Amino acid sequence: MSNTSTPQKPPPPLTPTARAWRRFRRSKLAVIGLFMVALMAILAIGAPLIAQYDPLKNDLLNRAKPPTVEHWFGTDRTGRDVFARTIYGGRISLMVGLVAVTLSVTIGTILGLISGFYGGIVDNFVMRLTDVIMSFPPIVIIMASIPITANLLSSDNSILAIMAVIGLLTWPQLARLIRGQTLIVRETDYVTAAQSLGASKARQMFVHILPQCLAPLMVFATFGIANAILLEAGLSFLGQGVQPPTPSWGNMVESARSLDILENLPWTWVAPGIFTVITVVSINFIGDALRDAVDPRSK
Amino acid sequence: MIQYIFRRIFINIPVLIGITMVVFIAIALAPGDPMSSFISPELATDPAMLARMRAEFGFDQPLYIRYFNWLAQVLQGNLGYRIKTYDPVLRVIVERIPATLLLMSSALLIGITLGVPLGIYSALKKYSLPDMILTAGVFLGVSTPAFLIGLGSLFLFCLQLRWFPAGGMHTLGQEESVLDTLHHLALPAFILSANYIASMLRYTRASMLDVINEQYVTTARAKGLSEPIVILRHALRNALIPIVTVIGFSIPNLLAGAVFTETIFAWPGMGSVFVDGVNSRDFPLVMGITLITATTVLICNLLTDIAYAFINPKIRFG
Repeated sequence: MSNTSTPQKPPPPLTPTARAWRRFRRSKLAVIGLFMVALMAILAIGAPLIAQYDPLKNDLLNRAKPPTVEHWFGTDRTGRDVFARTIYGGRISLMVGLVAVTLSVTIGTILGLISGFYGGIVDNFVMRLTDVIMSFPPIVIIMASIPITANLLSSDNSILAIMAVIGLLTWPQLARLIRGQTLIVRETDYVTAAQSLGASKARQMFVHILPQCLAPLMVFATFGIANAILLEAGLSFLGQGVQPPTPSWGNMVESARSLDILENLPWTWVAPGIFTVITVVSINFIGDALRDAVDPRSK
Repeated sequence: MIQYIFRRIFINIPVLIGITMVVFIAIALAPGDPMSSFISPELATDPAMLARMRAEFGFDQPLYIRYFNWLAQVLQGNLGYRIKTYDPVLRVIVERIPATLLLMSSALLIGITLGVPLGIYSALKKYSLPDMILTAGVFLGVSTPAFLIGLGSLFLFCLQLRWFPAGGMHTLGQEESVLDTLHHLALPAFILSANYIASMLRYTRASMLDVINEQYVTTARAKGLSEPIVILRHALRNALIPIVTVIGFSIPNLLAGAVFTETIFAWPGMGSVFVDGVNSRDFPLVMGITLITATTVLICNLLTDIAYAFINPKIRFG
C-alpha cells in the first residue's frame, strides 16, 4: 500500500471569509496598519504597567524638560511625564472612538434595516431625517450639542457626553448604506422563502438580511473609528472635549494653543499629535484594504 | 430640466423644516433660558417687562406653538441677542461672513487648481513612483486633523521661519491693504485646503481611471487625436461630472475646517466666533450660526444637484 494509490483529495473550497482574509493580507499597508493599531491598543490597555510615572502627578523639580532617558517624551509645564500622558490619553481617545462607533453602528443598522424593509412612510421619514442631520457640518452640530447633552446627563463627565453626541450624530451614512443593501436583499428568493415559511419580520430582517449587510457595516465601522478619534481630538482641541487634567490626545495638543508652549515645549504636543496621525492613518489603511477585500466585485 | 429643478427644490423643503426643528429643540433644551434672548435687551429691562414681551412673542405657549412663534421671529431676521454683549446675532454673523467666505473660497480655489491636475497626473501615471507618493500624501492629508496641520505650520512658518504673521487678518496699526491681507490669508487658506486637495486628488484619480478605459477614449485615440486632446477633451469632460458633485458636497467639510483654521489663526470669521460662543455658553449665537451653516449646506447641495443636471446630458435632455 503506497500513498500514491490513494487519489489526492482536492482542497476544500475557501469560505468567503477566508477568501476575504487572503485578499486583505495581500495589502502590505493593511498589515502594517493592523500591527500599528495593535501596538496602540497594547500601549493603551497596558498603560498602568508600561508607564513609569503617574500621568496626573506634578513634579515641580522636573518642569518643562525636553526628552531624556528618564522622561522619554519629556515633561510638561507642571512636570508631568508626557509619555505617560500620551499612552493614558490613548486609552481615552481609543475608548471614545470604540464606544461612539458602537452606538452609531447600532442606530444606523437598525434604522437602515427598518427603512429599507418597510419602505413607504417609514422609509421617507428616516431618509429625510438623515438628510437633516447630514446638513449640519459634523463639528458644528457636535460642538453645539455637547453643552446641552452634558447638562441633560447632568454629569461633569465630559467623556460620556462626547461619546453619546458623536454616536448619535454620525449614523446617517451607515443607515443609507444598509437601506440600499436591504432594498436589494429583500427581493431575493431566500428572503421570500423565509417569509413564506412564516418567519417574523424581525427574523427576516436580522437573521436573513443583516448578514448580507455585514461587509459595508464593517467597512463603515472601521472608518468610523478613525473619524470618531479625529472628532474627539478636534473637540478637545477646541476646549469642548475631554476636560483636563484627564489626558486625551486632543486636549494635550490643545495646550499648544498658547504660543509659548507651541514654540518652547514642542515635545508636549508633537507626541500626542503623531500618535493621533499614526492611529488614524493605520485605521484608514485597514479600512481601505477591508473595503477591497469584502467587495465581491474585486478579484 | 425645469421640472427637475423644481422637484429638487420641493424635496428640500421638508429638510429645511427639519433643520429649523432641530435647532429649535436644541434651544428649548439648552440650559438657562435662551428663548428670552430673542427679546431685545432694550425692551426687556425688568422681569415684569420681560414676561410681558415673552407673552407678546408667544414664548409662553406650549412647545409646538412656541416653535411657530420662534420660526416667525427667525423669518423676520431675529436670531436673538448675544448673552453678554447684547449684539443682535444676525448682525454678528453678517459682519463675520466676508472673512469666512474669503478664507473658504481661497481654499476651494487652491484645492481645485492643485487637486484636479495632480489627480489627472496620478491617474495617467498609475502605479508609478509619483503616483504612489501622491497616494501616500492623500492618506496623510485625509488622516491628519486640520488643527495639527495648522499648529505644525504655525510653529514652522510663523514662529521658526517667520515667513507669515501668526494670526489675524491685518497688521495692527497699519493701513489695510490687499497685499497685507493676502499675506495673512496665505497660510490659513493653504492649511484649510490641505484636506481638500487630498480628497480632490483622490476623487479625480478614481474618476479618471473610470473613464480612461472607456471605448470612446480608445476611439478618440484611434482617430489619431493627440494625447492632450484625448485626455482633456474626451476623458476629462466625462470625468468632471462626479468631480463637480464632490466640490459641492465638500462645503460642510470646508465649513468644519474653517472652525479650526480660524481658531488657530485668530481669523475674524464665523468659525472663531462660533468657538467663542460655545465656550462662553452663548446659545443664541451658537444656534444662530448652526442654523445659518446648515441652511447654507442645504442650498449648496441643491445648487450641486442643479449644476450636475446642467453638465450631465443624461439629465439635461432626459
